[in-house]
Amino acid sequence: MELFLFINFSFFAILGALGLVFFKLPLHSALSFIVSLVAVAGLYLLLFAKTLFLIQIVVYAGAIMVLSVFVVMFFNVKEDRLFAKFGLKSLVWLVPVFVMFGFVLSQIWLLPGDFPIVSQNFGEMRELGVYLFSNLAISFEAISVLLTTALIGVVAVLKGKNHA
Amino acid sequence: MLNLYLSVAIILFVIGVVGVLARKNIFSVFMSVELMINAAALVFASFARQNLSFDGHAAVMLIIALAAAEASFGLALIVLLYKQKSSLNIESFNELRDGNAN
Repeated sequence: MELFLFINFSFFAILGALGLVFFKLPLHSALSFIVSLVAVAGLYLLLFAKTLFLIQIVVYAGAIMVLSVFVVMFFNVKEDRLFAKFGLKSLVWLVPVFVMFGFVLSQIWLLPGDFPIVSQNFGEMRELGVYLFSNLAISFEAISVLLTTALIGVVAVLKGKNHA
Repeated sequence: MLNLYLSVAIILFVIGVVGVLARKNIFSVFMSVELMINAAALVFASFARQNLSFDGHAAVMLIIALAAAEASFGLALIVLLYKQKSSLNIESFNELRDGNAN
C-alpha cells in the first residue's frame, strides 16, 4: 500500500514538474507546478513528516503559488511576447548535467535500503516545535529577520525612483 | 525506500535544471528555481526519515520560509524589470553581463 501511494505521488510530482517545463503559457506552468507541490506534500506524509505536509500545503501550494499565479495574471501577457520556444544553444549544457545526475542516480543504490521503524509521534507538530525551540532557536529568529528584510526590500524596490 | 525517494528528488532537480537552462520565459525560470528548492527539501525529509532525526524537518521548515522570502522578492524584481523593459524574455535582462566579453 505504501509503495502504491509512493508510485502515485511520485508520478504526479514528476508529471507536474514536466508540465512546468514544457507548457507554453506561464499560467499553465504555474497550475501544473501546484499539482507537483501537492504531490510532494503527499510524499512528505508518506515520510511521516506530518508538520511538513501541513506547511507544504498551506505555505507553498497555498501562499507562494497563489502569489505567483496572481502576478502572472496581473501581467496579462500576450502570446507573441512570450518567447516560449526553447533556446537550442542552451541545450548544449544539458549534456554534462545529465551525465552528472546519471552518475548520482547510479550511486544512490549503494545506500542502505529499508527505513527503520518509526515511533508514533515522529514528525508531529509538538515534537518538532520543542526541538526547534530548544536546538535551533537562533535559526528560527534568523528566518524571521530574513522575512522582515524581504518585506522591507520589496517595498523599497517597488517604491524606489524607477520612473518607467 | 530511501533510494526511491532520493531518485524522485534527483529527477525533480534535473527537471528544474532543464527548466532554468532551456526556457526563455522569466516566469518559467523562476518557478523552475522553486522546483529545485523543493527537490532539495525532499532530500532533507527523506534523510530525516532514514535517521529518525528532527534536524531534517527543521531544515525543511527553514527552506520553505526561505522560499517564501525568495518568491516575494523574485516576483517584485520581475514586476520591476517588466515595467522597465516591457518584456518577459530573459535575454533582455542581461544588463550585468560584460559587453566585451563575447
